[in-house]
Amino acid sequence: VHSVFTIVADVSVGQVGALEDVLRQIEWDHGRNPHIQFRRFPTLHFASFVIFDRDTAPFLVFENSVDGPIAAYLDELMATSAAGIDAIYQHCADYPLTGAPHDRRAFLACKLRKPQLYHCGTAYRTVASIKADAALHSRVAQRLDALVSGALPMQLETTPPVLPSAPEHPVLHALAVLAGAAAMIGVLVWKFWSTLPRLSAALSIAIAVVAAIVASDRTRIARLAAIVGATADVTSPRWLWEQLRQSAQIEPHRERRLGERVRNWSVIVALWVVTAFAFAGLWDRHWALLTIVTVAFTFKAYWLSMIVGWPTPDGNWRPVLWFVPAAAFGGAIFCVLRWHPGLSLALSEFLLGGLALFIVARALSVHSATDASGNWRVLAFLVLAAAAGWWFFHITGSALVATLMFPPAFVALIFASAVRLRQTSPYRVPFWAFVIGGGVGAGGFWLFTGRPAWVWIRSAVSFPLPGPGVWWFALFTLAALLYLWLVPLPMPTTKPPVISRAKLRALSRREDIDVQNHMSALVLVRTDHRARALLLRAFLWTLNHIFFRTVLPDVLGSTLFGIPTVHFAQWVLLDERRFLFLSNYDLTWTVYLDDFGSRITTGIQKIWGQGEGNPSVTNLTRFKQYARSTMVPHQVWYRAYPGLTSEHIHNNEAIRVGLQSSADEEQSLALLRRLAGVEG
Amino acid sequence: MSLAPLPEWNDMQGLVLSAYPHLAGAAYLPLHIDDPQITRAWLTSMADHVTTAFERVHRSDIQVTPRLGLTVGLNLNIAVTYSGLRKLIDVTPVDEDTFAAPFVEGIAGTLHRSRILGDIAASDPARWTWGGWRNAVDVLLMVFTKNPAHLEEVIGIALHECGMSRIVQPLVALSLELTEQKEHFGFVDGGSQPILRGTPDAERLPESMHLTELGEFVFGYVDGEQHVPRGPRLHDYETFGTNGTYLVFRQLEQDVAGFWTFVNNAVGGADPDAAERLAWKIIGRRIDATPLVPYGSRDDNEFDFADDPHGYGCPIGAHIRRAHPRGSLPGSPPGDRSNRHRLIRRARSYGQKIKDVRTPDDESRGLFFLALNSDFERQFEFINQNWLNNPGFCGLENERDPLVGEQHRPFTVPGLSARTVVPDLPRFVEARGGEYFFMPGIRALRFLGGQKP
Repeated sequence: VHSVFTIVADVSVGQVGALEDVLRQIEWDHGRNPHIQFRRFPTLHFASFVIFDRDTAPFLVFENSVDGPIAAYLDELMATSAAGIDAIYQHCADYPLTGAPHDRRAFLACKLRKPQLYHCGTAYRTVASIKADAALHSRVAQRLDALVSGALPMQLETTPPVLPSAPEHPVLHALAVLAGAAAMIGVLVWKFWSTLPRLSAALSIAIAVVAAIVASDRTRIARLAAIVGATADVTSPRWLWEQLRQSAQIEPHRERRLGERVRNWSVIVALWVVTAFAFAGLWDRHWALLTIVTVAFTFKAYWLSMIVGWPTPDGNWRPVLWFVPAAAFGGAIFCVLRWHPGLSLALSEFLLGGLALFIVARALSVHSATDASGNWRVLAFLVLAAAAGWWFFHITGSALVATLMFPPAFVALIFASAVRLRQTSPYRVPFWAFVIGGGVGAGGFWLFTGRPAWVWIRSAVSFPLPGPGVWWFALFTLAALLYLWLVPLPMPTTKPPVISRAKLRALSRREDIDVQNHMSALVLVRTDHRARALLLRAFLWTLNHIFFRTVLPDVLGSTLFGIPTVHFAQWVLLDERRFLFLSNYDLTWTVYLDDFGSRITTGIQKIWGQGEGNPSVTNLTRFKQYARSTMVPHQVWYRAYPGLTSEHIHNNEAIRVGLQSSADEEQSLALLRRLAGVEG
Repeated sequence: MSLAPLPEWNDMQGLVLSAYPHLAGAAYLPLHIDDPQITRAWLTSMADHVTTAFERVHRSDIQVTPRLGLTVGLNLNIAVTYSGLRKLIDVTPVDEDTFAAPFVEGIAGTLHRSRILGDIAASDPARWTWGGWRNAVDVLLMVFTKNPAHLEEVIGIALHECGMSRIVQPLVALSLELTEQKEHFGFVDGGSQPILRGTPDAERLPESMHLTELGEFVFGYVDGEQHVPRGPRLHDYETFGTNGTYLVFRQLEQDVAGFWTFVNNAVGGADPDAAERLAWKIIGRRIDATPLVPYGSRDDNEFDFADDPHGYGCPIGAHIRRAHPRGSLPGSPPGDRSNRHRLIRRARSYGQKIKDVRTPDDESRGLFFLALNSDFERQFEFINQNWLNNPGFCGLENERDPLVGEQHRPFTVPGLSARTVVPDLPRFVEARGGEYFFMPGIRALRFLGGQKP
């Protein structure tokens, strides 16, 4: 568990100079200064001291990203560096310099701010495990150097092989897409005519699924053959990897992830249930189901577009294509529902599973390091999901409850995205986890119900289901959260504030000394709209719980919606007027901001767009100028593992995971490539 | 929506469109202004003789334009530094903000800039023979002649009554007739250039991936994002920047013997062929400039690294891949042709060719690296900061550009079944001088000479 927080304290009048002197000594040497020896804290990832508003009402921000609970870290801080804390905070207002130790600790605890939103690009990783993996990587690399020493001249001789990297069977892939589109048209037509289009729709979908399976399997076989052919004259990748495996000593370390995951995801599950029942309480079943299906599919389609490729402003239409099959499935399910609800549910699971399979197939054909038996697992999962849907309908008697309480399709999507993102993420979501999860869910239902689940839920919640008023309230709350999207955005004509070149120099002076960089900014929230600060708070909260604590670490491989270069970043609302943004990122500031401005435009717009003088991220040049104007150079910046980018950390972990089990030729080749650098 | 303005070729200096390959001799004269009054008069008279892009577009190379009263093949171009501008005209603080910050600060202006350009240790600006804060330069006169023997005479005439007593350091390029069209390491250089829209080249190659908007380099035209950067503006001359461009000039010394000795030793010393192949891998092309990307049969420069994602052909860290990643960066949109980080390069070699590439001699040799761009931060500095000198480029660990980067770092050569690592590369290229210039349009040049717009 990571704790990400800041300690914000006002600096006493006239004390800025003295405080800066102390901080300068700390920055001079993080390991041997007389105040705080950051290097001695084994759980500390990043820390910084920044003085904001130096010339008006200065305040000191102490940023921390640590493993474990906050209390333990504060205890350690007080135990090892009480004098240093005194030296710093004696220059701050209200610090009990002469008080007892617990008073001083109380001062820190009182000034402590938890961020409304934070991101961690290395979720679940402790400082110790990150360092251990890096050490393991360099040991393995040395061993590999010894194994291939003298191979360079020969390697230069060989012509590089042509490995099929693109989907090998464009016809089959095209067929799958066409069939999806045909299904949609069929469903639309069915609304006005009879059964024939329904059959044709089902047929098209079946074709799509089969084509995807065949295409991916052929591609995989072709790749394996190409590798075996290409490496016939050199050492086999598998043999090399076996050698490395045998010589690697992996220090056992356990990272506890399950408890944290369950806690984080429970927020989403709660929201899902509330939304679903809000709909169910307001309309009769069929209309409720229609709404849910529509909303769910829009959401899922959006999700798919994220998985398949982030929509880019430069006219990349590929993601949009995914709406076609997604909409088709949504429509098909609703149509069949009116004819036979149970079948509809089974179909729903099967179709969604099929869609997931299609993505998996695509991922398989693009990516090389997947399991040889991946296709069969996916197919098995597909059948299982369909069966589960059917079975659930039978035991509960309610298609609605079955859909709500056990959305295997949703799980299928997560599975699909996990496979797709395995390219950048070492987190493998094992197949058995889904089987067991599904089994437990289903078993639980069976235990509790001899009767329809609807009745069971009524009796489990000991009071009768609340009337429509409550559900209207719930809906209203959700709508209020969404209202933020309607708050006026910054106007692109806004001219960003002019920054003095001296300030720019002061900022850049501390940058690019290492691959890691630090950004500390204070953003003034605009006051033109009364609800702005409140909505920003709500938006940050929603974003934090629905995405940053769950989807980002567990589905998107700890990337910030695809941006892999952030270690720790936090947004802290200081008051209604100001928020802090503190980030520890990789590579250069320019590239960091380019990523912001071109890949996660919407979210950045919603948060940063609330800032005074923000010229809209759509004009990147101006936005950068604006972002620079909010920045303040840090006085102290400590990082536990300089030189490692977030991608390196994930790469090192993938190497460790790879070393723990045997691999076939293709997997070995992919793993060996990881020793040459992160796979692009 | 307005129509894009037609390029005013006759107001643009000719270096934008051509490296003047038909003129074998070249000399670059960084000058120091002593008497701005005389220099202004000199600039006014030189404005009539400066080579314009019009000549490149509308005349053939064979025609000789008489200049300076001479009828030998001869081209002239002029650029100024910020300190030069300050001496020649009145620049208010408001005007100053319209100039690019790197131009105002100079190439050695901040520690951060020296860091991202790799100008540290032996390349530290404190050791430079010209440019930077140590030997400030005001004006750069570039002289090109068909016959290198004429250079001295031409310079003598050109600098007559120029008001600039001091040539900070005369920089004479190696005659093109002696270079065999290769830079000193032995590779064909400068083959990959952006092709400017609106030029005859662009009409010839309408499908090229190198087609780039003129506004990426010259002020007053549409750039890759469909904006029109206006460049520097003055309180008394609003369109001062129009048809001008920023020029990067660096003197880069090459350790040719060091390079070839190193690659030779790295492959065991026995096989010169293997040594040459390692050199290919470091550069990213073969000696004759054909690419190492093994796929397809396209033109030598119309390839894309997306065809070689793992670097089996051209290593991820190879020089040409770092200098221009073309589709090897994660997240770069496919088919992105905006070419937002390109440079027009106008480099020439200096110093005699080495006799034997493995025997060190005392001769100093290298490259006069000249490059044109409209935004130092987005183009020249971006390339250095994010690609060439970036230790985490494309997921590599702790490497820099193997050819020009600040060194004692490894170089990874991807291959089957596993990569090999060439450890501890020395630095083969050191900066010996350099400065950022502004190369104005002809009207702006006359304005510098005191003529009112």
